[in-house]
Amino acid sequence: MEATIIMGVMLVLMMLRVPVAFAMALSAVVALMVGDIPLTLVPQRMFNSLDSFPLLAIPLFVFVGEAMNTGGITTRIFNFAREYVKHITGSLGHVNVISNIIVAGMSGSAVADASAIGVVEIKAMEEDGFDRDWSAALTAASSTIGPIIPPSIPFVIYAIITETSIGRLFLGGLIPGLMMGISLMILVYIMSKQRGYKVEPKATWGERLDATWKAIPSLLTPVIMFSGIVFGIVTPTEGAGIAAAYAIFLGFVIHREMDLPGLYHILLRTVHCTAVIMLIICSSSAITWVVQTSGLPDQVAAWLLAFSDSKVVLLIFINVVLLIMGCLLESNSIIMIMVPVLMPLIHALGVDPVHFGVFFILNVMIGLITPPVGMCLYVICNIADVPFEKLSRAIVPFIIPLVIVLFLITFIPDLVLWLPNHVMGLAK
Amino acid sequence: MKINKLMDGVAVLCMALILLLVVAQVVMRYVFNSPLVWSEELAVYVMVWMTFIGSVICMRDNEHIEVTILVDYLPHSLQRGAFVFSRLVSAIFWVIVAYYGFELVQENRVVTSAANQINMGLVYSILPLCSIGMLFYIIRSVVKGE
Repeated sequence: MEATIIMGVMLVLMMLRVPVAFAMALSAVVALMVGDIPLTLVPQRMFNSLDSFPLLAIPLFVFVGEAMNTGGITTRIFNFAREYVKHITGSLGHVNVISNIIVAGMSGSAVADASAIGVVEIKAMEEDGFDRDWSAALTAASSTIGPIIPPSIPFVIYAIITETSIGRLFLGGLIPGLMMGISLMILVYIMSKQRGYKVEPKATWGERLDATWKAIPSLLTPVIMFSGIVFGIVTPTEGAGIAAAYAIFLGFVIHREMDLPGLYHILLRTVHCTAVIMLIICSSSAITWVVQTSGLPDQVAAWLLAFSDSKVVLLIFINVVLLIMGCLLESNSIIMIMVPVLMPLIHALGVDPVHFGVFFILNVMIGLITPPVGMCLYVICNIADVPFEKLSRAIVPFIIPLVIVLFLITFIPDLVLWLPNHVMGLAK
Repeated sequence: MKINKLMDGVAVLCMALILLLVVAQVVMRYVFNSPLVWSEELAVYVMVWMTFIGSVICMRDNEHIEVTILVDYLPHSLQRGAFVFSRLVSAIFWVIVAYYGFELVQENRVVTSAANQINMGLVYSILPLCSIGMLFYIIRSVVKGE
């Protein structure tokens, strides 16, 4: 009952362009009023959901992402990737994917990656004769790798809701993230051959070494961020803090492209991006409470298990439902609502929470590039100046390899779990 | 606008403080071997304040995520209607947060935090404060028509 009210009110309000965060909070308010529960719960839950040290990693990851761009890190990484693969069929298309894979190791948000490195990529690709809508679609698709390869803001949110280890999730995302990259590069190769996109002349080893040398300080950022987290020396929040300090050091001392007004601007951009994400998290916390106390998650588990007791069928079903939701809803709100709903079923099916976390988030990230509601599409439309309808058509082929990877990691758990189990030992 | 600059400035200061506190915590633990006991709690409360101040800034700059795809297909007069409706509904939410947030402040006016003995009433006061800011910019957006 409460769940129906929540979904109904939320969808209607969202469609009438009430900001997503407010629409979610209001739907919880309505459910609380129907259930005759005091509304004091709303501000209380909003505050308590933010009162968490692990959550502090989010503004810090956002900061590293923003600093990367202003501090000259993204261009160096783009040039580094360019020297190595520009002569292969698909040329700058591959450079696009590889830069996104590397940048994914420093930034935790797909939307931030799309806007950060997207500008550089789309401009360079257009100069090389690639169609603009194709370049824009590729950039949107490869930005979804960002939150799968650690660090990752969605993984942090998932870990906090489910009390899963952030370190394990981060390691678990590494192989699936690389698979996404490789699958996109295969598609780039095939489509570039069909469309006859030209390649650039092969770089000499001198040029390669030069670009590598310039990129080394930037390439160290992920190493600095993760070595401490993976070996348990620092918490993810602290690792993010150290990486942020290193990014400032790079910008001021090594690349000399950052100054104090620049730093102020980065901090302000961080505040903007963080506030948007965090307000959605804290506004949906009342929904999470209503959903959990209503007993809906257990009902859902019971219904679905009565419908089929085959793990394969149910996992396919979950993935398809989530892909459809991804077309219609904003990603953070899907995580906040669906994770608590699905958790009992996942436990009943004996799926490892780290494995579920990775394929769940990958699914939701595909939602970032599926129209009509896809945040990365909106961002790319703006920076590439391509109409939304045109980009929505151009993105279609790029969704296919990502969905294939999604189903591969859903049904081969070792692709996710092998790395964390080997590095951090088997989960208790 | 002075108030805009001030709000931006305070939020930026919060973010800088978070960064300093987290880095200081690691440095003190590993370099000086004397872990800080108070930095985590303080950093988290600063983040809460930053989030709510930032939300008001985003309301001012129209940056909160909205789904406009359906409304975009409506005729112009209906678009305007949907906009006013959506702002009205948003305002109701923030009135609720202001009212019950204020209650929370009163309930906690003698409670102090565990690590730093900060007055919790003061910490919670960001909820009604943020609501007032939100309501101001919601009303402004309706009057100015976005």
